[in-house]
Amino acid sequence: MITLDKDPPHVEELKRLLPGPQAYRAYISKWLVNVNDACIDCGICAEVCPFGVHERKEGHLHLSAPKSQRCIGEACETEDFYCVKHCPVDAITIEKNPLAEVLGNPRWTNELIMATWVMSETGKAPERGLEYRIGRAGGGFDLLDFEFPPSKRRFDPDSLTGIDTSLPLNRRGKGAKIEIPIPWYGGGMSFGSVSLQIMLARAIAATAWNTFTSTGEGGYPEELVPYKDHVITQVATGMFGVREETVQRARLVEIKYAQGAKPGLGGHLLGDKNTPVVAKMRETVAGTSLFSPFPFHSVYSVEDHRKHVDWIRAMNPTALVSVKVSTPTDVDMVAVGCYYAGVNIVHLDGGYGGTGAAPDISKKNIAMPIEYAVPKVHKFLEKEGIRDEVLLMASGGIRTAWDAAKAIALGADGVILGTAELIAVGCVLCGNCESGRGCPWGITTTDPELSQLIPPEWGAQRISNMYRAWQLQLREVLARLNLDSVRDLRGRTDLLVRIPDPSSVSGKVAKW
Amino acid sequence: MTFKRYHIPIAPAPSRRPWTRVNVHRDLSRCLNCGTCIDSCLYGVHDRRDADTRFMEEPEDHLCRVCFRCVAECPVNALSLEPNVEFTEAGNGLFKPEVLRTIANEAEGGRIPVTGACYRGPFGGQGFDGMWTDMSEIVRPTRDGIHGREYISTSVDVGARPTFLDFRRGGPWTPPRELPVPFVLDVANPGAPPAGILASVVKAAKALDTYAIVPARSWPAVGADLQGHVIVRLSEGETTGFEKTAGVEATYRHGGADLVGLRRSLPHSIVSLRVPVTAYDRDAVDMALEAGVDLIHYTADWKDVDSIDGVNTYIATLRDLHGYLVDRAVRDTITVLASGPIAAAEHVPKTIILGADLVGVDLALYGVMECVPPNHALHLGRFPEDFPLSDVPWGTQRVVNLMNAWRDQLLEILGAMGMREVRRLRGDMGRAIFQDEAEREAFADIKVLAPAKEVVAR
Repeated sequence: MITLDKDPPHVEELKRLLPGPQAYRAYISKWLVNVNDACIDCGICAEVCPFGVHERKEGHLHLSAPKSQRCIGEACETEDFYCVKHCPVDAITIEKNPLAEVLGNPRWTNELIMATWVMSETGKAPERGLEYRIGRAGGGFDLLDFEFPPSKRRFDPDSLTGIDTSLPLNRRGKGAKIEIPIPWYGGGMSFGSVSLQIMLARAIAATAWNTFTSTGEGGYPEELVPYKDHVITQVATGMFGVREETVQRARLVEIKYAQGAKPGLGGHLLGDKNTPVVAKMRETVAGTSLFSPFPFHSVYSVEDHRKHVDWIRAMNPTALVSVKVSTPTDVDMVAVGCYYAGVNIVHLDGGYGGTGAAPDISKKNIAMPIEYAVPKVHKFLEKEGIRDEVLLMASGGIRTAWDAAKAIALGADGVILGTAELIAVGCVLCGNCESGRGCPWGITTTDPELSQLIPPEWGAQRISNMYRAWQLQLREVLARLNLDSVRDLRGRTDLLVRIPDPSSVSGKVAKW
Repeated sequence: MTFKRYHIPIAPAPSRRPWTRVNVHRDLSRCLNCGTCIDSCLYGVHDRRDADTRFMEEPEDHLCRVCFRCVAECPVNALSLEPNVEFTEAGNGLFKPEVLRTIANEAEGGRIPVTGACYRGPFGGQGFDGMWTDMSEIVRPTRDGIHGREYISTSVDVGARPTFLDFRRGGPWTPPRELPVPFVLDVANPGAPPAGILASVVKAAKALDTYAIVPARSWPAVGADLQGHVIVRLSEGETTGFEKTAGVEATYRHGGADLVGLRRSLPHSIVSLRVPVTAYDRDAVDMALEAGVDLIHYTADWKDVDSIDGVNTYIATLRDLHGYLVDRAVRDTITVLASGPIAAAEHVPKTIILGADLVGVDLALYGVMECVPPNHALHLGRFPEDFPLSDVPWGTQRVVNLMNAWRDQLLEILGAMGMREVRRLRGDMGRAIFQDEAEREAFADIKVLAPAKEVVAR
């Protein structure tokens, strides 16, 4: 049982509290600032640097170790405040950090990861030197951009509070009216795939922002109950830990058919991570690998799906129902079927989403990426005349606020986040989530010792800061497009352009 | 007859030269020998010296899983990670470093590679990368059964499946041979393999109950008990003496190869026509059909598929071959074996979707046998003659392991699609999502910004 320092919901405070802390002493930065022994501690560098790389703590004789993560690197060389130029003894050198070369991949480039860390530390996008909008995967979101009308106005993100980013979750005539102030909520991550601390961090952040996070299919730990208004109960094929009361306490219930990272395969929890606590929650035997079945054994047609929705409604008549499906070629038909079964939210999980464990072959090769599925479903629902009665949420590879904006422009109402939130709490995307003790950073682990590495309040602060940065960026995009509300962006493919592959232009080939 | 479930016997066969993704660099001028890194690393990269525990041992790079934890925990920033150039520069073309590493891992344990976090590669691309396979939200068979209670057949047939009574062949009809896996091992591409490789691959073919294609020069070295699992690739001249083998393979040249004579002399063996992608034309297919051969072995050399254009050509040609057979309404009378650019498990279902009945595993064997830099099979395009492999059981087990991993991954793909047998996947293009088509549909109304570049030309 985890006891928090403060009683929930201490959320208002959380939303304001900035900046969020950085966890570890060393920080993987793009640039590496070295100060060698020649330094005479004159402090000129600390005076000139506007970013706070160099610093002399009050009363200290020596300068503090340089904070490389704040350095803008090459872009600084032409500036007046370039510390290297000012150093009287040439003690400072700035070089590319070799570590950054090892970090990341074409989808989540090292700069996107580092930029997400900056956002979760400062609550706003990095000012200079880090690409925080687009990756280098050579397709999909990375080859889409907005075409902004020419404007001389400079947009101060803080002055754009008038731009509406809220999203109603229920578009049907009946049922509870729930509105979230930002067009995204957290995706399902089960207890077992991630630690309880991470679930709490996400739930606290969701509560602070009046949005949602999801339990995933690993049961509903008691510690989450104080945040129950902002926690989605997921009912997935394994039915792990699903009970009547967990369905009854949720405002939003999610039925998971498939997951983007492993479409058609069902959940995966390898035996090492199935500790006694996890096994108890899932009502299984500790140490066994848990492969959720696929598909639902009780559903053999879209019509059968209605029965599931009715079960949920029978247990909890006021709950909104979301259905999470993957993206096969007939995903448009699936979406329509879901609508007629009475769901409020159709959640498309595209092929490039995150996971705690999945066969590598399924991550790339099964089902289409979200970029293709969203316009397909959006157009089909429009043709059927039911687009405005159902909410279309996209997930599976939404890395940045710009991805979110592009997904919305392609036809989604909002997006659902997973990996981005974990990066906010320090994930380096090493991919070692699946076995052994799990994540070395204490994120996707069930190890009682490792999970202590993430204090829930700290994690919540980081996620909350990232949400803030994303909201600012989304507002900026909307402002530059002369839109007042994120709802007006939906399906506006006319605002998008396909850009040439930057890797082919600059001669840089995305490295795998 | 009792039912016996097909089972591939896997066992550990550890890599001797494990791939090292990064070099863990310890700056000895900074290191305090405090041992924080030992506690922070979950994978055992760091340790103290056995001889003198006051000092730290050199990091064991190959165990590193690039989590950065030790780097972050080090109180004096003495540790850093650098890309291992030997790894990042290994392989070429289809065999990217990650592909080679995956092959090595699969050959080591025979298991499906499973990792956490999201997909890490490029969005799509050309060749096989521009293809996704379909899935079904609501399907049988069930996922919890595909490796257990329920059975998905990976069997394929080699030989003609006549659709009606056919007396043209004159003799008793030989039914097609059923292989339990859609894989054939090919070490005849090109030259003769070193003795250790030959023995390993042929034994693996026996263990898997499939065939190994070996060059005529290597044929005398194959033991009598293994001959039934060997298809001999003929070079010039030889036509007789192969009655005990599973079959023979002639290479297509314009006007060459007496296929009819070969067929007549070996009425009950498999007769295969090897058609390199560079020599392919429809005459080759006509010739094969005319002679009544069992198998068209469509293949590519290393250099043919080293570039993405080569793979695109390979795919287009395979589609043409399959399409032509379908158009002539003779698809079931001949089997298509496709080999060459099969570098990863995902290429198996994709090749089958594109029209092959089964795939040949050839170039991937370089990775299995660790015949990669500095031995450079990938650059030679064949196994070097002096390649040292004396531990034949190890080599056999590596091949068997790889095939089990690939078969299990094929089962995953079939299970996701809700299919019960791989035979039905052949040429079923509706089961694939092609990037250019999907992109045309999804992004149709989005303006293309100059300089206009065709995103995908397949």
